[in-house]
Amino acid sequence: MRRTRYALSVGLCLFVLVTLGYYYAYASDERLPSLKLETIEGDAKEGAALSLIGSYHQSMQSRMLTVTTDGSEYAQRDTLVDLLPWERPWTPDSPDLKAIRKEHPNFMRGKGEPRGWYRDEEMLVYAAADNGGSDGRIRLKVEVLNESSGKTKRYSVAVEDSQSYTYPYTADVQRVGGQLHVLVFMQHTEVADRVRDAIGLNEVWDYVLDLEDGSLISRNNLTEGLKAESGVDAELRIAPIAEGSLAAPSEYALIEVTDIKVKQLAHNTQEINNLGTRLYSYSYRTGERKLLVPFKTSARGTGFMCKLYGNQVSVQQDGETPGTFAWTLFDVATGEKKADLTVTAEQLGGTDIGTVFIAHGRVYTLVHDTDSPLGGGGSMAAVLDAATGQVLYRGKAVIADPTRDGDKEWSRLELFSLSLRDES
Amino acid sequence: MNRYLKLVHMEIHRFRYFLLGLMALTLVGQILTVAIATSNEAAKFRDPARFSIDSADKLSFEWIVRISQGMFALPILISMAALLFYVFLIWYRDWLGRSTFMYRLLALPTARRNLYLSKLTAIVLFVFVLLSFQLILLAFEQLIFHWIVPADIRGESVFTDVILSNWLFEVLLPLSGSQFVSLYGFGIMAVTVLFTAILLERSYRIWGIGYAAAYVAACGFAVYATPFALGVNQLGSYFYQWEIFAIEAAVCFLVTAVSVALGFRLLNKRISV
Amino acid sequence: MIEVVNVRKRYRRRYVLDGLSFAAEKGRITCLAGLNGAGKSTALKVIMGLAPYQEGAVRLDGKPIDRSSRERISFVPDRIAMPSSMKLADALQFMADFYASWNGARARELMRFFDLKEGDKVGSLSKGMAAKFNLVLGLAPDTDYVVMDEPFSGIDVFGREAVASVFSSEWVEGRGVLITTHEIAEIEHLIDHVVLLKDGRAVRSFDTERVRDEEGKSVVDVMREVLLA
Repeated sequence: MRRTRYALSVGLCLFVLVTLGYYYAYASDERLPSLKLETIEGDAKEGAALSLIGSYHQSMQSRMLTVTTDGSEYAQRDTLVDLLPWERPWTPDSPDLKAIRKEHPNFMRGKGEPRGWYRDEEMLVYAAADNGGSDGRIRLKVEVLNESSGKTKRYSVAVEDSQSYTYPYTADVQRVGGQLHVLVFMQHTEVADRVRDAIGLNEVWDYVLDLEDGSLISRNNLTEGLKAESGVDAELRIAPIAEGSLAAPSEYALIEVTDIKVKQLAHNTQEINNLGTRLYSYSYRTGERKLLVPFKTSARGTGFMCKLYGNQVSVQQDGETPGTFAWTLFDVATGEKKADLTVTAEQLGGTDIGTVFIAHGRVYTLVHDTDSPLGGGGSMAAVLDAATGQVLYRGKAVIADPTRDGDKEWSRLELFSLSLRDES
Repeated sequence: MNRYLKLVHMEIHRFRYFLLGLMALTLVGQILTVAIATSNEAAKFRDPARFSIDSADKLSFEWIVRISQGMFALPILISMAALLFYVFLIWYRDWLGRSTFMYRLLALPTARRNLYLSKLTAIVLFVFVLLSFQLILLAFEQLIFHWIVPADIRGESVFTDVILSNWLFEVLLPLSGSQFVSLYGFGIMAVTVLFTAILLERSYRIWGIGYAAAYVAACGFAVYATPFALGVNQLGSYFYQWEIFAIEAAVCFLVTAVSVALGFRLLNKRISV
Repeated sequence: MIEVVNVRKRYRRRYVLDGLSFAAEKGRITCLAGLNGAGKSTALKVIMGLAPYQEGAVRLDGKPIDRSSRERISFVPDRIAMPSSMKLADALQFMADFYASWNGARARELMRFFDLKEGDKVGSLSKGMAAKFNLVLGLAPDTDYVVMDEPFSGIDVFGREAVASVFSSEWVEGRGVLITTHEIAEIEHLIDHVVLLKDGRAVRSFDTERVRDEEGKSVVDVMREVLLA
């Protein structure tokens, strides 16, 4: 009995170690296939920027995954922590913000407006508009970091007579010489109180500040005088569009103006009909607003997707026929149409166009092949030059491990979206 | 160390029948569930009038687990409740009754902290024993499934999918080792807080209940409120997300350390029988 | 020597021990006597570290009492203090596991003397047998001091005789014994030194033999004089 006295305790400890050890070392590995984005044609560097999003269905479970040229990563399953009531806020990210976070992590603390950044060789600026001024005036808070000296200057300016505005959103921050331009998108409060507050009369203002002392030099209403052009009942929906690279310098911004018709339905719901869109450019330097793209109704009513990268305005639209997409490029300074292109899915090796967007002078698209025997394996990522339509890159996700049954795995995989790796 | 281990063994020894009972309950409950559900589902498969909306052409063990969520979970939940109850009873049982064993324990020439640590170790071990037992049991249940269902309608199930089929398994036996560590680390922290609350009550009697409740509330608040205070759900918060999680982890460690240290101190200086 | 120096212990609003000072020497049997509620049991608990105190000091041979002192002082509490489901053999094994000073041979001798069976469960013992087992647990270790709280309480007259005989046996010889009891009259002849407690303080402390020889009084006489005056 002596030797077996502790048998129970020792036995239980060993039991736990062996069982849990085996489970976590071996049995809990889901053995999910790893994928990789491989080049079919073109410059592999273009493919390196891509991230394909999909899901893997195994009997009754499905897992989200992302695939890049480096490999694939599966999303972590929900834990107990995710059930708690904190929502992780989503904010757009980009390579330039990432660089700022790396180089100036402390300067970036507590600054939540993603479009409030401006960076050039001399300085890093953050500006944000809020409602915190006394009497509910719009207030601009600016922080300027001098890159060479490392010194920071802070300004806070309350805008006169701005009490009737609310929900300010910082749309862009730009610098012209010794002046700082803060582009703010706001709503008139009296409109906000009405039932249709989501599409009340919005305005876009450019507040110009002196970089030396932070004083407000002037302000410019970019949306002044804009009116609906499609009839009596139509209202306007306004959206400012700034330079796509969030912190990059730009001399221009865009205003997208859409005519809409709102039908009030039962139970406080609304039906919104899109009647057509036009695009204006705004120059920070001159303060001039110019009509870039006149009123254009879309055949399928889905409207435009406009972007500004550098001096190039891209206007993207679903093509006239399914399986195609079309886009137009304009020079923002001259308004000259630089390109008017259409691409079909067949040209890229598929049957349907999935995700497509324009950024940094490139067209990124995920093309699906519904005829492919490989199921999800028929999807292809492609990168085209936005100016010429030339295919710069085409790539496909492949299963990295050759010993796996490709047909079986692809029947479980589905790739449904594409994005840029460093951007969200 | 020796004496600490002996105390651990004593705690295990005292609880052995109870532990066995919980394991037996789980075994009987789950095996019955599997046997009954499997027979029913297998019969459905044979029924020519069945039209499969779900178009599953084979019956899999994963499916059985998935449709029996409640019955699988019931014995586990009972065990969890029993263990939670024992977190309190493991202390109070030494005070109750005619034979106040706590006299003996406190008079032992061993460091008083060994009393605290041995009870903590025992609780943690019981939890892990039940978890390990559940894993073995699942494998055994899958075998039973194999015996009952004939090969022509039997589909294969991957073990990890079986785990994922039941929400409770997914939480208690997470597939990721790091999630396991954080979940049970958190649990150990909670047990130390409760232990110290018990010792507060035993040291200060009437006032002790108040101190204990206040202590639990303070620890709970610290752990729960820290991420919100640091702005975890705010855009543009001063701290980056990873920093918030690191600080929260530090807070949890701190709460555990304070609980243990306070528990030791109460046992050494303030406890009375 | 076990020394209690100016110990004050508060319970709720009352001072149960209010500047208590006394000493129990090795090789002698010292008895704490007093009326109910005088603080006798509490004094023993304070010595054993089973109750905290606010002021004062407790020392063993000049050094403060700590964990290692518990190897040198045995405790015989007024209740059984072992789990009811434990067998006597397991309880003895428990003591052997934790006390380096445990003497298994002496334990078996004492078990035989008190006619206790190792296979019995603690919960099945009568009050008298439980008290005797407590003595086994307290006397078996090779400790210098034995502290007993009401060792005679609840035992019948023959049981008391057996217990009393232990006090003059080799099992107790040479050790320092500190006991509290109500049956002081019965064991007066065994006690060397008495400390009278009243309201948490030692009001009189004397050698029984000297008082008997010089003043012709018994311990109870002195108690009547001091406590009931």
